[in-house]
Amino acid sequence: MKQKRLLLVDDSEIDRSILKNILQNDFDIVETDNGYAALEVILSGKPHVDGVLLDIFMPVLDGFNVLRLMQENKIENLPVILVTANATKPNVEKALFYKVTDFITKPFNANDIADRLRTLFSIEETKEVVIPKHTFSENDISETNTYISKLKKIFNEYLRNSNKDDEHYVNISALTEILLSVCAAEDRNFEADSAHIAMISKAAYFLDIGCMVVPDALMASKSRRTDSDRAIYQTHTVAGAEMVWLNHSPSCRYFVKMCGDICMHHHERNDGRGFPHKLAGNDNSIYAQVVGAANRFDQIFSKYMEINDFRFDFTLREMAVDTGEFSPYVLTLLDNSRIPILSYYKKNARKKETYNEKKRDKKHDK
Amino acid sequence: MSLTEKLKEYGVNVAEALERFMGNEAIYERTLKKFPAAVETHPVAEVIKSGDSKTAVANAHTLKGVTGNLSITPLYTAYVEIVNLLRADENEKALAMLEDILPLQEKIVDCIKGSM
Repeated sequence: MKQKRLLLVDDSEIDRSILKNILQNDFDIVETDNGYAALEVILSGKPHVDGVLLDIFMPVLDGFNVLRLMQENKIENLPVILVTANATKPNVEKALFYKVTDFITKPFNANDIADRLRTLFSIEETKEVVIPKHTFSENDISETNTYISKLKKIFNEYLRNSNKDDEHYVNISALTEILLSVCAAEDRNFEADSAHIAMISKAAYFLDIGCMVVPDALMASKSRRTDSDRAIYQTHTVAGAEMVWLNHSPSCRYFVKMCGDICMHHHERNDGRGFPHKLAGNDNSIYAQVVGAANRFDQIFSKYMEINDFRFDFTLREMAVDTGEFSPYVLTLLDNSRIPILSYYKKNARKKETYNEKKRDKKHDK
Repeated sequence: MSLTEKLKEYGVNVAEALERFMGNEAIYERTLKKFPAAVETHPVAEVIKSGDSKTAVANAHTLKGVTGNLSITPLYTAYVEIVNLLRADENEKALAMLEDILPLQEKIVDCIKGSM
């Protein structure tokens, strides 16, 4: 029988490792050290979990706020077991309000926890958690666009201060839209329609917003990164998602969910050796996979002046050299999107040329 | 003398902890080795002195959970009381109590670090 999968959410690494040791014989365990990351797993269903062990007292987003946001997102039927070193009357009352399944107190009683969870998951057939299909109201779109403008202002300010422009991110956004549109045209069951694809493409622009928390010197460094530099650099994924998730408006829910997923998982790899969660294959969402591929494609393709099939093929070959990075499906999708991608880059090049000509003419007139 | 034998001398309830670790001493020791980092990343005295009560409660609460789960009983008993005092805004009493147990905490941390 396939083991049930539990999500352990606790900011204390020690408490997580003790719980993991108690439960790992009976359950698959996924861990997160904060409420935002937990919410991301629960809302995205990547990976699917059958139950959550949720610490109440955590910095930034505590257990009760995770429960509130689950309720707002209509996540029902997912058993949540609260973990606390402080089982006070107000905590118990609040837990009852959120209809949590059970309580575990710290310090842990290993046998009691193992018995309770074994019983809970053998008698309770977990129903599939269904995230309702999202449609956008006019208000959702207007509020989301306002939020996007604010994020853009912050991100562009950061880029300016780092002496960078946003061309790479504009390209990633456009490539994402092309790739997902081709995906939708090829697959009738693809869950995103054009409104969703437009929203996801806007979200893709912010994939690196978390770089704002990485020291400038490290981002600018051309020398080979040390292990500790790499660890710091990798935090930009989680930081970006946490930044985006700070918006709790129900109107922005879809954008926030997708943008958070993209920020968090655009460096995952198909072989599960990426970061931050080592999600393999389709445990990572197709959206984050597509944005990751768009990111790498533009990094390679934009280095060259020529926009042609030869350069396109070269870029695809470069992307396929490291066989574990992208799924064959994503590489084929890129190949199938060749015509609109080349046409996008050509159009962009013409625009740039016209702009530069005008600039030269103005200079000449002076 | 093994790490757990040494820790027993500081009042750590090794038998109780091993029940929690399903009798696996190796995993218990491995988890104990994470304790110095937990102490370092969750300072309480300095934070109380800086007036940041919210972080002080959060850090003391984390150490309460960790010391309880590792059965570092004398520290756990103290952190239970320190958290209660901080929640009641009795910061000075909490600080006094903390300063009483810090020498023992340092000894336990040194003992664990010495085995790493």
